[in-house]
Amino acid sequence: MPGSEVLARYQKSTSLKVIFGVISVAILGLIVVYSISVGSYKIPVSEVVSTIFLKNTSSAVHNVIWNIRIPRILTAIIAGAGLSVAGAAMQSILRNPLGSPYTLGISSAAAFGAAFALSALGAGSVASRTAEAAIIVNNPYLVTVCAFISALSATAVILLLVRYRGATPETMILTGVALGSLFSAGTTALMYFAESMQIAAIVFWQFGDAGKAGWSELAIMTVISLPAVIYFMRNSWNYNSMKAGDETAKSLGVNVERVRIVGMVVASLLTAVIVSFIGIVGFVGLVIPHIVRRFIGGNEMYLIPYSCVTGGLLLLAADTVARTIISPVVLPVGILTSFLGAPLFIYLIIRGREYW
Amino acid sequence: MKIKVDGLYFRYDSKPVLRDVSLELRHGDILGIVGPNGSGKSTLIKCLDRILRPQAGSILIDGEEINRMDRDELAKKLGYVPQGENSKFPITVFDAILMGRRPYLNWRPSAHDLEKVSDVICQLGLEEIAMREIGAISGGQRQKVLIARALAQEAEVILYDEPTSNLDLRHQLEVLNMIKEQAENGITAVVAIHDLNLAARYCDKFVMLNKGVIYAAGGLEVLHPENIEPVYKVKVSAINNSGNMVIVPEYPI
Repeated sequence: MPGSEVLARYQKSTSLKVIFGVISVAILGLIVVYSISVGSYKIPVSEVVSTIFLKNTSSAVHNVIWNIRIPRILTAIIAGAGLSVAGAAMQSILRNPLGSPYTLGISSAAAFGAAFALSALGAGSVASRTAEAAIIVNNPYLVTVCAFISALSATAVILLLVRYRGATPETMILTGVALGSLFSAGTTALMYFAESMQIAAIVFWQFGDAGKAGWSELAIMTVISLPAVIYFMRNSWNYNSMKAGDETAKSLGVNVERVRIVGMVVASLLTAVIVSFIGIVGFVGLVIPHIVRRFIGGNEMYLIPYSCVTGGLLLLAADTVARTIISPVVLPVGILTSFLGAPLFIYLIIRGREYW
Repeated sequence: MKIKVDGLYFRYDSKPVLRDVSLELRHGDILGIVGPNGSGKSTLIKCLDRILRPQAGSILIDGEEINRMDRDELAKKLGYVPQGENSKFPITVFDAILMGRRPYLNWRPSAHDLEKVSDVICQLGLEEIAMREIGAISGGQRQKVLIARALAQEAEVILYDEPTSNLDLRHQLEVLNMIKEQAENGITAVVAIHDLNLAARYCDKFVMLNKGVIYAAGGLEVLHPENIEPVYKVKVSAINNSGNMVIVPEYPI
């Protein structure tokens, strides 16, 4: 077999991957349109299209679409994409198929930091609407910074573990469990000293819910997510090499220590921003990269961008289901992802071994 | 390409692993590093590729100190073939070899990178397994894939860390023949190797390490029983088998 044929076969497999990407983006587009049209206020698809592109419909429809549905949809997409790409990057950087913001305790740490800012530092105020308490974020930057600092402390523990103990996936996950319960305890302690209305608000805030972010929060998430994704994509060959082991990566010219630390810090920042605006959405970061690998294999050059698209797509789909399944009640999507993610996680543990 | 190592000293924590190691390598040499377990063979290989940083001594490539070289530049000159690799993630053989192009590429591999990888695959006869998952091929094939990666890297010197230790007889010979062929093409090889008979047959220069110190260095005379017996603490005899020296271990001493 000549070299040209080997090359042709490789290029064919590459085109299949590109087709997977195109199909994912197309499905994402369809779900966006569907998601805009469904809900307690139904809008026919034709009206959705004309409102977005022609701007000639009633102000009520216009209002629902631009101020309620679209921010929520974009939030779900960005959160799903961000958590998935953070998970994909963490898995490669730590050579750990079980790595994700959630399993390593980083999400819980970010949630603690955010709750700390909201309650103790007064970055949020509590508003009572009928029986339901809602927290109003006065200072989104303070919340994000606190979430980030807290997430970084969890990341530092994981990184120290990798550096000095050469931790196995199992040890890392056990440490994640410990960190997760430590930070959950911290959040509980904050609640213990809070007033009853604040407790309700913190609990409510913790549910991962795409409906909590408005345009300004969305802007902050985008400003952090886009450069983060580009950074991860720029490093895809470093991550490919690191998956083969630190020694191989070093011999291929990778500055392993720096790539690992910077990558984990960027992934933590991404997690912190998402968690501080929408709460904890579990399992997305863990499961999505595995789903994507099943379809297109392990090459990071494709895994990273496709984890974004697939993560955005699946979180949006989950959120759309969550807000319509027992309409008019809108379920927080975090509840749904945990219900779906936990069995998938167990499935990965049982079945996934053969390809880890 | 010339490598000069002078006064290398490396310790883990407070335990010295290499002491005052000096050696020189010339273009196209196959240097066999032999010695018992724990004598520092792998450590020396890793120091040469800056995977480990020695506490003292210098390593010069064509007169240039490797610590002052850019990582990518060093990777274009020196390739490293680990003892084995065991990734928990799926990757195809082609992509695993394409990794060797990392020092050359930025966002994505160029057409030249892909061609180079295809050529290496054909050169080493790996066409049939090129699109298979690396986890689904045999240990011997995997070792060849790791060598293919170093060749795709276009390194002028390739460091092999016990390339034959996990392989069956046939693959041992195939892998060492590959190394020898590459040396004939001008790619210098440094091979840490356990099997003294294979070393005697394939290498043309030898360094025998004992507890981190060079016990003997030079040509085939390094593998004389006089050296092997005190270092390995084994009684051996050397037999001449139609021109090839065969070392027969007898009993521990």
